[in-house]
Amino acid sequence: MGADVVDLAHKGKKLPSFSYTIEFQKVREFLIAIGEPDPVLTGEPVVIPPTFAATFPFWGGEGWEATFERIGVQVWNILHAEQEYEYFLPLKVGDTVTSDTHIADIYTKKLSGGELEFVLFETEYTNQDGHRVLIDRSLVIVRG
Amino acid sequence: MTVCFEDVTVGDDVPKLDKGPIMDIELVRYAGAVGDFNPIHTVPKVAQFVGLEGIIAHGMMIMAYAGQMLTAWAGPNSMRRFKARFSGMTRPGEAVVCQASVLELFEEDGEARASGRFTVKGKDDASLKLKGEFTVALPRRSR
Repeated sequence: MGADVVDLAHKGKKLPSFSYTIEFQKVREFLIAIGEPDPVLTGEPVVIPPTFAATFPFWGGEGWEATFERIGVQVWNILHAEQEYEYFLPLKVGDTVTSDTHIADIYTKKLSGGELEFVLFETEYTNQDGHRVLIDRSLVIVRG
Repeated sequence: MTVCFEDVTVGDDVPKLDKGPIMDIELVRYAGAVGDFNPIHTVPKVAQFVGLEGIIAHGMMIMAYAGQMLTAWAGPNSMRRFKARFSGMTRPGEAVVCQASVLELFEEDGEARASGRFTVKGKDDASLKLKGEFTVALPRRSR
């Protein structure tokens, strides 16, 4: 595989914006995947789970494979280190979120086994009314 | 039933949540649901090739379990901040336990809120899968 090294010049870079409309069947699929009851069977109103936003970059945006290619990294050489969400307004089925993502930081940490490189992506999502709904901070380790 | 702000005390434990054992097929199902088809989660040959000794669960799937525990306690749409550090890999066949406790009760943005820490650990070996911090808004008891 060889070592992937991220050029520090990518720091501050923006990723393409995307919009994503939250659909009932996609939420249902996510709920079932994490072991929640199928809302079609229960008839209960659907609540968007806190980590449903993890779907946005993949089903709304280009996905991590393409994103990491932009910075010269193969997706199988990354590991998710930290994930943070800040929630400002509840999300519901039918909402359309629009992303604004930038590479907030790139840094290395020395460990006993060598150096690890970290990349922090920060995304602010606004809804169809222009209100900020969510901030997503994803910290990823690039395995050299 | 979810909890009310007045019923919570600093130091309280959130009711824990047991999940698993996690089956291989659940990783495939989660990959499709979230749209993350990184082969280290679903294709054993690739996972072996990159030195992982087999497929590993998406960290976000394990974080989702912690979210289930917290929203079962605090209620739907209660999360205000949710942060996890992924510490250890979770492999098919493992069962995990989600635990959390309350560290602070406060008012912010006109809401009654609770914040604290959570962990997800392997059920058999207590290996740390992730740990993190949360802030939730809690309903007040109607007067």
